[in-house]
Parts: sequence; structure tokens; C-alpha cells
Amino acid sequence: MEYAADLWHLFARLVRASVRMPVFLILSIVQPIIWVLLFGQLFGSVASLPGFGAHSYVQFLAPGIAVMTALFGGAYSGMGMLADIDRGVLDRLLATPVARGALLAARILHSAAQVSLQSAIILSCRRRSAPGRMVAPPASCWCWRWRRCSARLSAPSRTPSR
Amino acid sequence: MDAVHAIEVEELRKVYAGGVVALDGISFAVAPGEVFALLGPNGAGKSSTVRILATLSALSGGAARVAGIDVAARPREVRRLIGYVAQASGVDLTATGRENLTLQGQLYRLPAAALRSRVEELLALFELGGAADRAAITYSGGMKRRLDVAMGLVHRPAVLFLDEPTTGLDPESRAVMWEEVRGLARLGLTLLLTTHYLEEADQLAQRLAILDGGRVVAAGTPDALKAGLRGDRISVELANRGDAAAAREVLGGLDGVTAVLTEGATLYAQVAHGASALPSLLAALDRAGVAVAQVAHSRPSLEDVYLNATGHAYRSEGGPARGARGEGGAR
Repeated sequence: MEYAADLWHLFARLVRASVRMPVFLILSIVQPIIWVLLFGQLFGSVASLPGFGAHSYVQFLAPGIAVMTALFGGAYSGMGMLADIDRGVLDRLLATPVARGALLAARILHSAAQVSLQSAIILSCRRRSAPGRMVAPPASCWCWRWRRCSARLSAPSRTPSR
Repeated sequence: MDAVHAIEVEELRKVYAGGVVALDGISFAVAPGEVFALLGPNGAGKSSTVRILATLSALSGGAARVAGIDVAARPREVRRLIGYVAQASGVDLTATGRENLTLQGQLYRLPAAALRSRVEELLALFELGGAADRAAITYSGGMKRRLDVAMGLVHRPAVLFLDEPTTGLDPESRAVMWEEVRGLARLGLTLLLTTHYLEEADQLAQRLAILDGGRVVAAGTPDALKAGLRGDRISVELANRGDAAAAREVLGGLDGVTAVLTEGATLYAQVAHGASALPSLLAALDRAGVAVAQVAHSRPSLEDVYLNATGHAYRSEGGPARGARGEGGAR
């Protein structure tokens, strides 16, 4: 119960920061759309080559863009954690009785929410082309993100603490 | 007062990876309601001590207790009792002052209604009411620091750690912070503050420990420490560094001089009464043919206590005898 409450408060903090600086949120959502549209147009004719396995180039490209977006999202999430460490925010939080796991889980929840939004947008681009075989990207992205975040935290502290 | 110390540190050791010894067996105890200062240059081990007490850093040896609770064995209980204001500001810059305070209270699981009134109370106490709903990134250095302290107080801790509360503040903000600290002391809070300003420790602390190179070199009340020196200090800066040995001999042989320390071309003489000793001291140097560039006479200060305990003059960057790697530069 306390864990859930901590998680919620910390998650709310991150969402608030994202909403307050919408530039990053908007950029991170617009960027994959631009990629799909730009590369989709640029290499559109590749799909007409014999032996190309998809109906259209966008259909071929969209899952890749979704995964790439998730990877970048994970990196950004780690950057946010580093900023917290550098500014002393993490130390301040760690000196409170907050559940340790919630500090990580809040970040993961936050970027998972963001990536779900992005993936939904990208996949809706693809949906207009024919439906095809493709693993659901969000699930694999979350796994990857979890591993990345926990690796950062379990790594020995970068600062030989004063 | 009961027998339980608010803070108790026994033979505390901290060795960082790579063999850097930050704390080399320090001991001190702080009574409930006391303002205690850890004074020392950067790298002396002040922040390491506080981080261990705040459960942020593991100790390598010895013991540390807050309100009788061992910080290594039962950190979760300690965290509920303490407030920690770090050297680096822990303010979330994208959030407003009110949001920062509220989150802090939520993490201590304060009930919502009590938290709301507590936040208002702290905003008023630290004169942040007008800026409460502005993002903290727009705050001045002094305001950010006050918000930091307010955040450390949300849950009404029994012990508050202030790690260099005035470092990087302008003189005006520093004076304001001093007043805040005095106010907190009047509330009956136990305060452990670290500082590398001698004057700050002298002004604020009821008792203090001087750290140097990971050891306690002197401890007591500021007045007792100064009284322990018995007398004034005369510092003599020589025109030629080469005369130092000769000058030291001359000063050591004079009546009324109790101790002489040499550092480069400067000699520090401890005398019973500075003003009356000065003429004979200068005359003796003159007879010995030692040219003097500058002479100063001062009442005992914590600086002299430090000088006397370590054998070198106080510098906030750390004494010459210490290892090259300081804690202040680690981050």
C-alpha cells in the first residue's frame, strides 16, 4: 500500500515535469511520425522490388521505428535519473522512508506510458497499410527498458559520495 | 535530559573504493536540542560523516547512532527521525516550491490535511509564500536553500542535518540563513551542521568538533576551545623566507611566548598578552637582523584553535598535509 502510494506520488512528479515542459513530449511524439513519413516516402519504391516481403515500405518500417523510439525513450529515462543524481534530488529522496523500488518503478511507468502513446501513434500510421505479421513492440520495449533502468541503479555509485 | 544522545558516533571509519580514507576513527556525541557543528576544510570528512548518519552511505567501521538507533542496522527507523539537507540542493527545479514540499511530505506518509497545513506553515516560516506557486528554477540561491531546509523539516524531524547550509550564498542570504538556524535551535531541534567557515561555527554552534584529514583534532564549546589557547596570537610575516629558522629561535627564547609555529615565511607566536609583548618581540627580531614584512596581533579565534591543533593555518580548501584527493572535489 505504501509502495503504491510512493509510486503514484513519484509518477505524478514525472508526469508533471513532462507536461510542464511539453517541448520534449511533443518532440518525442513528432519525431517518429516524421521518420515514418519521410523514410516512407523516400524509400516507398523499394517495396516494388521483387522479393520484398511486405506490402508497403511503411508497413516494413513502422515496427522498427517503434522499437527505436522505445530505445531512445529508455535512454532519456536514464538521463532523467542521472539529472536527479547530479542535482542531489535522488539523495534527498533516499534520505526519506520512500520505498526504494518505487523510485525506479516510477520512471519505468512514466516512460512506458510515453512509449505506449508513441507506439499507438506509429502503429496507427501503419494500420492504414495492410495488417501484417509483427510482434507487438510495446511489450518488448518494456522488457528492455526495465533491464536498462535496473542496470543503471545497480551500477556502483558514480559519485564516491562525500 | 535522558541518557540517550541525539547523535552518537564512535570510532567511525569510512574508506572509499580505491583506499581513500575519508574518516579515520572519529567520535563525538550530540545532546538532544543541541546545535553541533562539524568544522573543517573541504575533504576533512564532514559530508562523509553526515551522509553516513543520514543512511546514504555505508560505514566501514565503528558505530553511528541517531536517537539510540544504529544507522547501519536499522536505517528505515532512522530515516523517519531525521531531516537531511544536502550540500547540493535537492530541489526539483521543474516543480514549484509548494509541490516540492508536498511531495516530500507525501513520501513521509503524512495525512493529506495535516500536510496541507504543514506546507502553508513552512512556506510562511521561510518567507516563500509569494513564490510558492512558481517553478523552483526561478528561485534565487537563497530562496532555493531556504526551500531545501523547509523540505528537511516537513515531517518535524527530531534531528536535522544541514550539510554546508551557506556555501555559495551571498553574505546577505547567509545572514538570513544564520537567523533561520538560530530559529530552528529555539524550536528545540537537534541540529548537526557542517561548515568550512570558522565564523559560522563560532556564531551558531553550542559545541563543535574540528575535523582535519578524517580525524577530530579538537572538540568542545567555541569559548572553551579559544580559552584553551591561553593568550593572543602574533603573526609575523618575514621579508625573507630563509630567515624563518633564525626568527623562530629568537621568538622561542622570548619571555611570555608560549608557542611558535612556522608556516612558510609566516610565524605564529602564542603570547600571554599581545599588545605588551609586541615591542620586545620586534626589538628582538631587529637585533637578530631579521627583516619583517608585516606583523599582526589578534585575539584568539577558532582559526587559532585550528592552527594550534593541526600545525597549519586554516584554508577552506584543506591543509597542505592532507592527501591530494578531497571529498569536495569528488562530485
